[in-house]
Amino acid sequence: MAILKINGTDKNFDILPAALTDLLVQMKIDAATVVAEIDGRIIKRSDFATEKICEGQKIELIRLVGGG
Amino acid sequence: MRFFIGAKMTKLNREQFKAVLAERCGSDICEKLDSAVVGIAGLGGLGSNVAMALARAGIGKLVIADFDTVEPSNLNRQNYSVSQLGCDKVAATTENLKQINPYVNIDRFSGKLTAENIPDVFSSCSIIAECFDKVDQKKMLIETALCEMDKTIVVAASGLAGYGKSNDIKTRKINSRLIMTGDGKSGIENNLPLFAARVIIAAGHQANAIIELIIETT
Repeated sequence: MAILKINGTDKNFDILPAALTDLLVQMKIDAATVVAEIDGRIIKRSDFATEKICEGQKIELIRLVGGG
Repeated sequence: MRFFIGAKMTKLNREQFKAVLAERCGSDICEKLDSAVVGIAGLGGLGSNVAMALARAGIGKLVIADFDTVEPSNLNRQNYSVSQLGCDKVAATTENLKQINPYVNIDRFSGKLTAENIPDVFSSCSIIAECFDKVDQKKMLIETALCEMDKTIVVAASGLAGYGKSNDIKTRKINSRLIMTGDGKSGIENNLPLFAARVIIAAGHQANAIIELIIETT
């Protein structure tokens, strides 16, 4: 069992997602609509597939919706 | 400042205009605001209203950017008038700002903002207000400014469509360089209409967060 702190809440994973893209798929979040921050670093969309996920990371997934 | 009562604003010189602001806010605060350079990415419902609030506060310089022209469908929430229909939004916003604060410095960029040109367009800004309409543009601005620019702070908005639920709109500090405003969920994707009343609440949150950043951290 591995734990990630996502948006301030501990979330348990039987198997840790390999990359940020996998985490988003698992959480059913469209990568095009989210800004991701891992341990204080903003991750660019182009790096989502190569950004490795490690146990204990603090992840902020900021959902964006349209309108302005 | 009784001698200003009845005087036409156009007759106030820069020093007199600053003195009026300083009397309201104090000279320390006014100096900080006057020294600030703030970027506004997008001049729709959010940006046109953020710009007005910042010009009224006495921000020294605004860098305003948009590619669009004023359309009839904008008038329900954006700070333009019928006489400005068809005008370039950058030009129309400049005209409106100068009516309020004739001495605000304005750098103008009429064109499409991209990941390639954002660091250059907003290079002089310590803070950028993300005021786009579309999700992909919002995401692009936030990622570009935070990854490609050194110290720039982004004040973004997400979730301001619909009506009512005024108090669901919040200001949230994500980290030292990103502040999010809005309710985080009410989007146009959900077929929610946009009203000036709720858009202006979010724009007010953005402008208020920017003013706080300038006063508290400079």
